[in-house]
Amino acid sequence: MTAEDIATWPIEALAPRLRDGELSAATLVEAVLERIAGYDGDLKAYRELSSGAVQAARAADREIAQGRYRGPLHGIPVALKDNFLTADMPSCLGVDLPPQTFPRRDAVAVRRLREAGAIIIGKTQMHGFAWGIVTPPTRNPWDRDRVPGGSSGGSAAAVVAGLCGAALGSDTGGSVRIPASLCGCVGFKPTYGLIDKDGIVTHSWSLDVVGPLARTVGDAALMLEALAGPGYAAALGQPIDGLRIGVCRQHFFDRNAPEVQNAVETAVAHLAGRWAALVEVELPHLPYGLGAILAIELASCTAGQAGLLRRGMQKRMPEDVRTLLELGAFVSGADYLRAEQVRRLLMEDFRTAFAVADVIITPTTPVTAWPHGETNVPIGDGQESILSAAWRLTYPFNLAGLPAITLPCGFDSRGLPIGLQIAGKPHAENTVLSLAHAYEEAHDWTHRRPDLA
Amino acid sequence: MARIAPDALAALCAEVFGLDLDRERLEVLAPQLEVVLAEIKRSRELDLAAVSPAVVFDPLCVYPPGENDG
Repeated sequence: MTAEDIATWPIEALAPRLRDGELSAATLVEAVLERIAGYDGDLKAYRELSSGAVQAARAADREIAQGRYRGPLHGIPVALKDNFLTADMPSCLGVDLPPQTFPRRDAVAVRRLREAGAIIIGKTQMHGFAWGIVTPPTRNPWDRDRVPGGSSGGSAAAVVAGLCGAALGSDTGGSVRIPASLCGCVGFKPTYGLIDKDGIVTHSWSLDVVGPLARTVGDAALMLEALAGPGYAAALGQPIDGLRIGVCRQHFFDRNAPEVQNAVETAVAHLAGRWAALVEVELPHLPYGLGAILAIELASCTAGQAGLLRRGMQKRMPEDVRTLLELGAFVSGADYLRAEQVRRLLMEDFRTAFAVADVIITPTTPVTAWPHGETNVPIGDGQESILSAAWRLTYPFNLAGLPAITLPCGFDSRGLPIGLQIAGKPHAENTVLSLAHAYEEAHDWTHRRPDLA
Repeated sequence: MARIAPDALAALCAEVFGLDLDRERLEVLAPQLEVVLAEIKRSRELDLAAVSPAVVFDPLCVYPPGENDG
């Protein structure tokens, strides 16, 4: 195995070799750092690298040699989205603020990864304040002229390009799943509240969720175990015969790029043909969902960053981020509470749907990665704004707090990845993971790697 | 917003919203605010009198488990 090879292997392949001493964490981390040196000047997935990664890897090797193996993440290099507070690196949230703006301490999720033996490689680029779907200056590994998605774009690009073993992101309206779909990796948004989010700079209190990005569903399950406790990796083999797959044609299948639609329909037909039954479901209050999440997210973020706004620091931010921070001040209290009422109606819709379906399957994004600088994308016979299209299929599951995973289900005619989203009812992570794993095992989409040369 | 004089609107923003927004900045925000408010206002057509908000007050939220068992 070459250094180039091991940096792109999934955790499932690396972990037993690390455990048995066939591979050292120091070798693995040095391979990843070499790969970062070779490719990240172009991809720009990272904002900052940890100066202590090699030292931490050597410490991991000593522990493993002494029989103190911590588990599958021991010695695995992991990247963090730059809104996760860290004790050893500043957090800049993708904007030009003084490095001391946010505290230097480890977020709970970071602490749990370190306790699991993971090696923190660095902080990845994110769209400013988690308010966007582009993540400048990061580039999509499959086509450098296209965006990686956002706001966890740096984490997704790093995973797909083999610049880390796995990564953390945060997902408020789709910010783990959108870049995972556009870059072609697995991205998991668990049930709201499953993973302690203390130490993530808050975007929206009732929407923010910690989520792993990884090369395989199995790797995502291993990350979830380190973050939320045991029981997820073992569930991957649980039987899925007879699962009921819910498909909501309204909203999720009525306005997608043809190649995305075809790939997802093919995936649904495959799952229904082999293991599961197909059920049509409806979510009658979805037309009011966008207004609800806008009210909640805008008001929450503006309130959460009141200190920065009081000091006028939004004037130092990119225009799109500044605008959204200021717009939140105009959401009235009455409209905010109405949004929470609409949210409950949508949650009831999902509850009704999950009485007849075990999962709901949708495309993750209606289009594949778009070129840098584009503000509209062609869909069907018309155009749609990127801001409207990119999160249209992901945010409903944030509003309802439901677990939702994305994994690749094909590539379009330009060679760009297409994402399949599988969602379940609250705390049904194992059902979602099991079905995703079964689909992944039957296809080779997650084995494909971009040519970074 | 278009019917409120710009100076009065700037004063309203500063007093009510705590934001220093001059006339130029308000002109930048106005069209985008119009788009956002159009979506938010859609829920005003719903009869939500019998619907409780999803996020509600919980008097136990500051007590660790077991500390306030009554």
